[in-house]
Amino acid sequence: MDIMMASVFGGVITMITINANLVIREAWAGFNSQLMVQQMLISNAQIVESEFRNMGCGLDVTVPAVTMARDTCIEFRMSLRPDPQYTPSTIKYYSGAASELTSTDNPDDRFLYRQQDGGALERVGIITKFNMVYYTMANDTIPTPVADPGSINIIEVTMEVQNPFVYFIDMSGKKHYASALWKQTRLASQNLRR
Amino acid sequence: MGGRASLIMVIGFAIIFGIINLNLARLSNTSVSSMVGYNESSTSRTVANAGANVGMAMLADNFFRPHGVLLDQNFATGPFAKSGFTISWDSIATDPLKPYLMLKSISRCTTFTKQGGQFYVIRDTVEVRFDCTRSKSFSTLGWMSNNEGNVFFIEGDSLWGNIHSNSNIHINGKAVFMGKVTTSGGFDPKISTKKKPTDNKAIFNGGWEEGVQERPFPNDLSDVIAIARNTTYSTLEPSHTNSRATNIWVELDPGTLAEQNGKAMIYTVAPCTTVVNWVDKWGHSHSDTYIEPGRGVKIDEMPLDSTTNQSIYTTENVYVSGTLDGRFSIAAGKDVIITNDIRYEREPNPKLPLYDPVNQTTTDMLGLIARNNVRIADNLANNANDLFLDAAVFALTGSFEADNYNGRDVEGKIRLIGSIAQNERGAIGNFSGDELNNGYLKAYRYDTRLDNPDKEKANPQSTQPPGFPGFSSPGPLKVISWWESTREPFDFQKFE
Repeated sequence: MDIMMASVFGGVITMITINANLVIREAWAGFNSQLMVQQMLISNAQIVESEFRNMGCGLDVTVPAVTMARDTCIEFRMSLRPDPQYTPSTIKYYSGAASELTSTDNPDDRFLYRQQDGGALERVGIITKFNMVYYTMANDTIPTPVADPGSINIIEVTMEVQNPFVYFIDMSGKKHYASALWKQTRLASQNLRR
Repeated sequence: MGGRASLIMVIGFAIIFGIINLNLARLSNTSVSSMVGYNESSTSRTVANAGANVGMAMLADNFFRPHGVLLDQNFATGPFAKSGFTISWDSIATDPLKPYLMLKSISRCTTFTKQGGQFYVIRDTVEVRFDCTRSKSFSTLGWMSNNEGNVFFIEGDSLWGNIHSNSNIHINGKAVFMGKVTTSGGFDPKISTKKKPTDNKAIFNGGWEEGVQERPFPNDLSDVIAIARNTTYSTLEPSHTNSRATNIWVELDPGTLAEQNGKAMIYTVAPCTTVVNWVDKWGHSHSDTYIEPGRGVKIDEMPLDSTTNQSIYTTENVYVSGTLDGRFSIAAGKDVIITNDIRYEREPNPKLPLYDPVNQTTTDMLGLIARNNVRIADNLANNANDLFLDAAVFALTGSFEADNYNGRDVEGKIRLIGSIAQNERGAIGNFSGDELNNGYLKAYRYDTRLDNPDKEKANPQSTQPPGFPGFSSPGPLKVISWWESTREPFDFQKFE
């Protein structure tokens, strides 16, 4: 009788321990993934935000700052130094194809590219979404691709970063990735408003 | 035995869960720190931008503030708590021909992290640069004076274009102003009303405004001098000298009827003696001898065109006449003296709208710019006939005036198509009531091409003679660039 009771208690305690371990692992993985994703997103966001805010800096008011605008790609001109004598550069940001990152679990992640003056492509970070919506001075949405980039006054940038690796597969087999979304509503360079 | 094992087991679980909890808390804290760090970075940048906007408002209120720190502000409470900004205002002389003014706002935002035992402060900079070379050319005003003196606009005077004086404007009777009239002083006497009738019964078709900000005159003629010094010609004609130090005589030659073949013929100035014989009404013969400056030896022949900004400058006097084909400014360190009619080969028609083909096709534009006076010579060529003058006139320290205005004959009218900006309003005639005793009557029309908003937007230079002086408008300021410091992603884990 003692042996049976010990086995039952031991089994229950073992089950509790295993379950607790699973819960802890899931929570930990989730937290860890969230943290990584947040840091990646903040890193990407600060780079993009810093550069977008200087869009059109050092250009004559008659020269349009944005030269090409699509929903996932933007090309603009700006001076990298505040000195007006400094020759402005052409900067391009766009999201690459998802097929470039097949080595990760996440089928949607892709590189965010930056290109300066048609030079080598720089990988700013890994994202799953990089979308832009353009607005006129009257706050009307401009359909993409934008035919007249000079009419752009405000840009809304949405960026999502997901963890490249699964942290949880639910009972239905659906894979879950830690995700963080950054939406910079109405990002407007002061230089576009001159 | 069972009780001890249970105790050990409970303590073991407590330790394991405790460690796990600590790690989860650390992860959670780091995660929160990341977001707080991003928020503090954003706050710092927002504070720097707020500082720049505050500085802009201060400058809009008073542009003429001394350079240095405009404002140093700390915030103890509110959304910007534990942060502040310093706004400074300075000029940048990177290029002496094109200085800039800069407003700089530097934020300081105290974070919750420490470095070396001190709370770490992040800073962001916003630099706003203003083009202070010119906001508007004086040629955008049909009539402009720094000081009206005690000269009155009287009944019969009709002025086109916008009018401005940095002093009081004196009016007697029904003078007619077609454009807007502004004065940094006031109207003298006050504009007549039904309740308070005065002698100022002027008709303001474009409206009026008193007490507006002054349009300050520049200290020098550096713009036009720079163009004269920097004008280069092709290697086929390298010998022209646009900057001189003697009196010169300029005759404008339009060439053939075709465009782009005008010339400026440059001569020395030599005394010229003219004897005029005449008979008075009693049949007595007279002989008058005039000795006046005249054309000397030709020293240069400059090709002109309408696409290049060209000017000639001398530190002495320049005597001008002729017909212009091109865009040209003639500047003198002393006086510009008009010796005969000065006309454009293709004259604009100020009576027609700006979009009329006549006004759209002519590109001829002349600036007469003097440090002292722009004078109409009292000579034979200008005697007893109308003077045709197609030009934008600027007199930095003097006036636009007629030589011997109260002793010369009754000449006719000055038929101006252009604009006049002068330091002090000069006299061109002597009147008794409405009757002209000596000199000229006015027939001034504003050349509307000089204030063409479409061309100004595309290229301000195309609406004015080359290097024509201008004034910095006190507000709104012309922002040429707005730069915000870029930040490397801020990693709070590197801090204590």
